[in-house]
Amino acid sequence: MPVRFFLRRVAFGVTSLLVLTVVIFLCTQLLPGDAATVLLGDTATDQALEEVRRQLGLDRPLPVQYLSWLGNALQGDFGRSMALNQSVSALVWPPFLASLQLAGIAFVSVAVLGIAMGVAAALAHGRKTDWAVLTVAYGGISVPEFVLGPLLILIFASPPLQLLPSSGAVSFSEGPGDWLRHMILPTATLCAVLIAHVVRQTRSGVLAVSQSEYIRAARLHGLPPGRVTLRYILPNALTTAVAVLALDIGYLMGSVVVVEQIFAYPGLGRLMLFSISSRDLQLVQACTLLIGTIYIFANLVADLVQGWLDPRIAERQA
Amino acid sequence: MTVLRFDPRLATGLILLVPPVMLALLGLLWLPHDPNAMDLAHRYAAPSGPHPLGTDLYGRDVLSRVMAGGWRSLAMGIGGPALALVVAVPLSLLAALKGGWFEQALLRLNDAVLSIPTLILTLLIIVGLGASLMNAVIAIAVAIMPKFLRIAHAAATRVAIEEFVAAARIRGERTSYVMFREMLPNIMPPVIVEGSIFIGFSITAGATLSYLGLGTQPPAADWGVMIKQSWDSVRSSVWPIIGAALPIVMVILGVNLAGDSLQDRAGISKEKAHV
Repeated sequence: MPVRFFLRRVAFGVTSLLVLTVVIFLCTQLLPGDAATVLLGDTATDQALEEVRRQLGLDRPLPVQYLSWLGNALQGDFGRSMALNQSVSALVWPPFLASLQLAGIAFVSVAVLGIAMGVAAALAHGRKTDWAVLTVAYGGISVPEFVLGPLLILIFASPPLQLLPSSGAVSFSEGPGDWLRHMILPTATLCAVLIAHVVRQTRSGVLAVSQSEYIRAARLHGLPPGRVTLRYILPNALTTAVAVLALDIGYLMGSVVVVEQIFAYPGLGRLMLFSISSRDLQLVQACTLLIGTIYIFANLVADLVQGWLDPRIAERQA
Repeated sequence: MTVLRFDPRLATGLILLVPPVMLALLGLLWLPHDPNAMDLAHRYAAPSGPHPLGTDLYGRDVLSRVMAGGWRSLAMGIGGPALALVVAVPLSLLAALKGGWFEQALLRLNDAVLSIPTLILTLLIIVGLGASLMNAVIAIAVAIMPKFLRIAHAAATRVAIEEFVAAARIRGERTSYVMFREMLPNIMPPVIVEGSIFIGFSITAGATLSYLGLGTQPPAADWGVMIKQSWDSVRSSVWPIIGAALPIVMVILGVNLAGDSLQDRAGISKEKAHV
């Protein structure tokens, strides 16, 4: 992989991260009730508000506030949560790990099932399997998480079946079986839309490659069909699949927020929604920055993997 | 434009779209019952003549609420992309026409914003502006703007190298004239067709915001708010959730089917305009 390509992608990742911090800072500063009002309540006198603002450094110019906030954040210091009266960095860590497990399992399932079903559909192009997979995919794309999630609870976590827990989480060390049981429904909800999406993209990727000139040439040359599929079609279609998976991580991050709320899963997304509803600025900043950073990092990895799989991409962007 | 050929996806899509959209539009003019009138004697009623979709936990008529709230959900689905279009198209026309540092800076900034997960960006903007229907539309528009700008910019650069644009500039026409009279009509059709994929996404995003309590604020209702309230009381009756979820699923499925069909016709790969 060309060094220039590598450096370029890393530089882009850093730029994105900076833009993310600016967006987060601006959005949390636009908030009508500022931190002082949240702290003292609506009945506070103007004098008391001024005093607290000075203590919190809210009377300084915006760029100065931004730089001092950024400096602290880089050192892992996100201030104290107003609503929970705890250090934010200590507060976000356990939910962060919980979300990582949920998103990780969902991502692996999406990658494996989505690509497998997409390839199967493409190879059965126009036949029954193809139609069945496409129909399921349309269904998956059209049912939002907040309809599917509660529906799964109603079917699998309510009487009469009551097969699985409807909410919460158990740590892996407490009991792997119980941990898994709590993961199944949230993961299934997360996967539905994304699998459908990956299936459709992978299918069209494989179809596009298998209709290309060089595959025609390989077939006319008399290569056995299985060999053409495994050695010539799939490796080339894989780049499309990786690109799609990378883009879908962003969607996954959003879905995690919704799914955690539906299943009362103690993760970063649920913490973020709590911080928004309780107007806890420090917590909002830390949660969004963490989620955004993971996404930017995941995208960077995906870009590099693509450049490695397909050297032409790396050459073009170097 | 190819000859219009019958496509089962387009037909199915339209059939699914028509009832919920018509109900939402009709709801602006006429409602069978007052959508907020409580009737505690008839809570959780099954579908019947006077209440075709049953009643909810307060005995409110579900059909009337679906009709009364429909415009809000559709407004988020159409309003978000429309607002994004209004901002992204002039910007991309100017960028394609001017080129140079302005275009470079815009595209770089755009790529950087694109690397923020869409729903997270939406939520951040809601944090900044406060939770309301109007702010939800703005938040959705800002969040899909970078993707829209990419599509619009690609179309604008294709048009910017056309001879009639060069001719207009040599004639000494003002920049605004070249942008809006010469280029705009040529980029609108592809931008609208490609942009239509954001409608399904925006309806889902808007309903999700309402579901999370960050969009339409009760007592006003839209389909997202209704779904939230219906799930909370689903153990008592399943009729309200069926009434509330059916329209939105029909609309999203309809938009997806019809959109795919239109994009295939226009020869656009879904990959390029990834949501």
